[in-house]
Amino acid sequence: MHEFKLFTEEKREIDELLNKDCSIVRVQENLDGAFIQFTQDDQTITLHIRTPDGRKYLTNQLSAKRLNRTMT
Amino acid sequence: MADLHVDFAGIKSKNPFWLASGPPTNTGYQVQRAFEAGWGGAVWKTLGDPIINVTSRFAGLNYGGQRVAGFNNIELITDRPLEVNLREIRETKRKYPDHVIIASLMVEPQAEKWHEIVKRVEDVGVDGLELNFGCPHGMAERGMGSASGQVPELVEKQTYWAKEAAETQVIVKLTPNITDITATAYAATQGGADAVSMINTINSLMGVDLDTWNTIPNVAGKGTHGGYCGPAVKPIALSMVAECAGQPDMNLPISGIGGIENWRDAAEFMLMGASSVQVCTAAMHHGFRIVEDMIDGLNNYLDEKGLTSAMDLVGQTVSKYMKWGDLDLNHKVVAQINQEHCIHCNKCQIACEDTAHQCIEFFTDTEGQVALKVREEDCVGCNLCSIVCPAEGAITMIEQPTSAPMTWNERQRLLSTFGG
Ligand SMILES: Cc1cc2nc3c(=O)[nH]c(=O)nc-3n(C[C@H](O)[C@H](O)[C@H](O)COP(=O)(O)O)c2cc1C
Repeated sequence: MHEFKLFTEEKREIDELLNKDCSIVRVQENLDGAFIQFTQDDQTITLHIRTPDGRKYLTNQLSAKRLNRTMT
Repeated sequence: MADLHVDFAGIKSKNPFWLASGPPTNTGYQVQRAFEAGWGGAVWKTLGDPIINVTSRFAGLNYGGQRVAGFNNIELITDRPLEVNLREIRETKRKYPDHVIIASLMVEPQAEKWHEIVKRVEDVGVDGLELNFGCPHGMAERGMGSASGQVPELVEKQTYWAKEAAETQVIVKLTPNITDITATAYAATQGGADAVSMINTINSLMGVDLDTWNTIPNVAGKGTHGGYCGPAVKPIALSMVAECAGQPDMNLPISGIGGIENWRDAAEFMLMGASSVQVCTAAMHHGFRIVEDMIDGLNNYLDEKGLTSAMDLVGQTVSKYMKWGDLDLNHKVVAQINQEHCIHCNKCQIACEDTAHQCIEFFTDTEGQVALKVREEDCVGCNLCSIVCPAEGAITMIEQPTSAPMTWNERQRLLSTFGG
């Protein structure tokens, strides 16, 4: 039961997409966790985040990006 | 030496320690002895139409090695005529003019009844009145006590009637046997109360005797629900004080009651907004002289904190008590096992493995000894291991560096901008 491993994987996937300059256009949360929709050009990719740390990480990233945008 | 005087809704007391209405304040003899011992005030045993009590009316909950971790009673209000109580109140006030005497009152919910008792009681020189809307047994079956204290309209109306006749301060004592105590506290405010006190006892049945199948306590083989108090109820009482102290539209002085045994408990209630505290069970368990330690302890604590007055404590923690949604989700603590203090009982490992997040594991140290360590990355910081650990200092919860704070409410606001 090493949830940390699962979180590390989710974090890697989120970082990878954000580093590729994909932008998050929609986040939907339901009984199964969070579904994050990334877009780049015409492509849409959906990540399914299951761990609580993953969902926390996602919102911290969103908040940091928003802060960056207001500061630049 | 700090100044222990408090000002409770304009009532000046030499210290914040009052005896709560109950067996310790039944007679003038007792209250005078209590004042000699050092209590700053006493709330007299509730006055009203004298009742008849049953015998076998108390029961104690012994938990582990601790006697009276909780206490249950099916006692009613005073069984002595009003005139006798009033004579003793007058005499006690005459002998101890600098001590606070509050008369606790309970009558049927009718304006004339409240007017009559308030006038008669104020005539003998009490410093204030406490309306007992809390007793959960016996009196409640007669429409008084918690039966009227659970209905906000009745709380408001009766407070109003008492206030119509009262010249001294009116304190409304609230029942905890209600979902949201702020509703009745607010009703008391609307009725014109000068202060509130909480809590009275909590509905309870202490137990069932497995040999006789009688309830505990039982009266000739029959039982009824009673009122629970003592150390076990302190967290419930404290949270109710906190709920009321945090209400911006209430703003009434609070007298904290419920499970207070020592100066530490008292200081906690004061930090949470109480400007006086009341004690019943602890005095019944240990006697009046517990107040000596309470006075010394609070004095030393204030000195240590560099505070000159007990009033400086009042309400300091109120702003730190908030809704769950305003807590920081990014705050992170993890457990750490201190090998020098660990006694290898494995309780933490069992608790974590069976009922938490499976992050405490065995390892063999450099000397070949089997020991326990926390896999910190999987620790959710729930505190369970440190709670079950019997060895002082063996488990410490260590704060971790984290990203900027974010509360649930902030998170939900942020997500809502992403269609979440
Ligand atoms: C045996 C007994 C009798 C009590 N009688 C009264 C009473 O007459 N009026 C009242 O307002 N509260 C009464 N109480 C409640 C106490 O004043 C107090 O609110 C409650 O016990 C919680 O405080 P504690 O944990 O310090 O005991 C009684 C409590 C006990 C244990």
